[in-house]
Amino acid sequence: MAEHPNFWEDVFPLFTDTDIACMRARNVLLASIAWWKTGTNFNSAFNMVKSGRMPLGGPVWDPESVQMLADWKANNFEEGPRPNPDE
Amino acid sequence: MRRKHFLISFALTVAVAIVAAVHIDLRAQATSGPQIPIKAPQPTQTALDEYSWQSFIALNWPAALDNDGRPQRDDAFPNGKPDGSKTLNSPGPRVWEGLKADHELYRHGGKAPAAWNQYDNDLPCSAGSIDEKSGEKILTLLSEGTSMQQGINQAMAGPLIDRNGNYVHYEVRHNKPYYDFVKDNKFYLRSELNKHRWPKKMISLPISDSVSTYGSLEVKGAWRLLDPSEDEATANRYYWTWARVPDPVTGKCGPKQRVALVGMHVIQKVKGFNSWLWATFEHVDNVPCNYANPGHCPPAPSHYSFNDKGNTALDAIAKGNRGYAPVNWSTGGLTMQKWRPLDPKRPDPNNPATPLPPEPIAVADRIHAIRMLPVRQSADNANDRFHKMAPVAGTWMENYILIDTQWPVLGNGTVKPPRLDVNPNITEYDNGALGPEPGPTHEPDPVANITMETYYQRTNTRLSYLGDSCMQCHYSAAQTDFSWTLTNRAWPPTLATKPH
Repeated sequence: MAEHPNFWEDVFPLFTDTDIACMRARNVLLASIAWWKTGTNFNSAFNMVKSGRMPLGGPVWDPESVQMLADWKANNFEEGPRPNPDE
Repeated sequence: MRRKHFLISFALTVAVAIVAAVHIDLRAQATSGPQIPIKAPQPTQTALDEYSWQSFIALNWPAALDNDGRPQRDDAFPNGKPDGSKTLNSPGPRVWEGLKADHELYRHGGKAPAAWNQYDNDLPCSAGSIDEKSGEKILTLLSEGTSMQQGINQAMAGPLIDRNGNYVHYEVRHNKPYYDFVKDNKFYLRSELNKHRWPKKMISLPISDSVSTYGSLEVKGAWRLLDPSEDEATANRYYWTWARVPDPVTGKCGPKQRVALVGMHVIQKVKGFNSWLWATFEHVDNVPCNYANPGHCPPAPSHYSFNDKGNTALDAIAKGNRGYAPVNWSTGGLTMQKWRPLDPKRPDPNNPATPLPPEPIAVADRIHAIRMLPVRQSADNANDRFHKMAPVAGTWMENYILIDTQWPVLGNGTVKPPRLDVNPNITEYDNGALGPEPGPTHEPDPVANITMETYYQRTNTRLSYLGDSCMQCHYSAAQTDFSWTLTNRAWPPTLATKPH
């Protein structure tokens, strides 16, 4: 597990495209760092995955993945290297 | 003299009309056979509806069989190998049933798929010695790790329950170009698929060249169980076969049962249509007829599969509820709305003690659906024409109708997948999916198959980005070239959980 997790390398891969698409329609922008940083968004989403209510249909996240998400916040929402759109 | 001229003129007009009519029929007959035309259709609704019908006929032609009675898999037939010596009404598995099932492409543990022309012996459900032979179709959409698509849930929605109280089951199959592309690029592995995640470049599945090479094709079939009380005359109105249906809770294969085809999607990537052609068919006994031309309606059956005939109270509820009733589950203590996916392995979080309701489902929970919008004039005309001519006339296939063909008006353009870090909007979809028709800037009619999009005949405001058509829903999967299957079935299902 990454000691200092960042968004693009560690957090973004935890969500599938289906997770992101489903939640995007509800104004839950899992692929947006700005969204995570806003208000209570982080705590809401974090509690959803921690309790197993997200993703719908499972599987429930491993404790290590839940901890990674918590560590990312503790690491000041580090962005990390953004993927190159031309690749 | 004037009278003589008039008669000659009239006779010539009639003769020309007869010749034209015969020509149209002969042209259609000549191109409606056991293989999908390789030449791309013209970008008009009429031509595309005809192409949809030609594809439906070809895919439902009796398959050439191997020594085990299974559809032959032959590299020379990327869309499945037909038996040209048989007629449409001949018994036996269909060509499309020989295409690769999703469980053959996405194997447990990310195991490499077998070659196109082979069968692997993996079973998608746990049971004894069952082989996937012609008499033993196995219906499943089991996803490893997740139960969102357990073979009974619809895409992004709950299950459809027929009027006999049984779940409708679904299967997805792919042709050789699609299968080989995913296999050769190892996109059945999430680690490889993720190399193409937004915001990187999208995946592009193979497209036809309109001369000698077919493009990618995916078929999704919807089956209902034939109740033992249903007579042979009813069964023979359908394409039916034998299948083993996995228990949605235990995952074990059940006994052989007769299943009837009630719906079918055919999507193809054809030259000039970079965001695919989307055709969808249904059986006429699903729900009461609602066509642009009511004169084309067939006689009503004694029972519909998904409509309690004559129940005006349920009709009224359905009309106010995107075309279906009831709104909520009424049994088992479930508090969920009908449209929401059921998770057999994880109970409703609002009511953790609730199991998956067992079959037969209580009468009050069986779905009563209506067709909200009439089948469009274009599809209605194509249905009427194909029903009346060979090879369809007089076969079970004349009981199936094209609901619509959705296509990109700007199909030669470049697909632009949606950004994932902003809210979805309709302009992004319209531009990114290359001007869908029906679509936001063309004819804004929804497209929904009662058997597969029961809960999306109108936009579900809880999931509005899915819209109310094939292309709008699949646009959210445009990063994987509109394929939800690819992004949902890659191994492992998520990197947030250790695979097991």
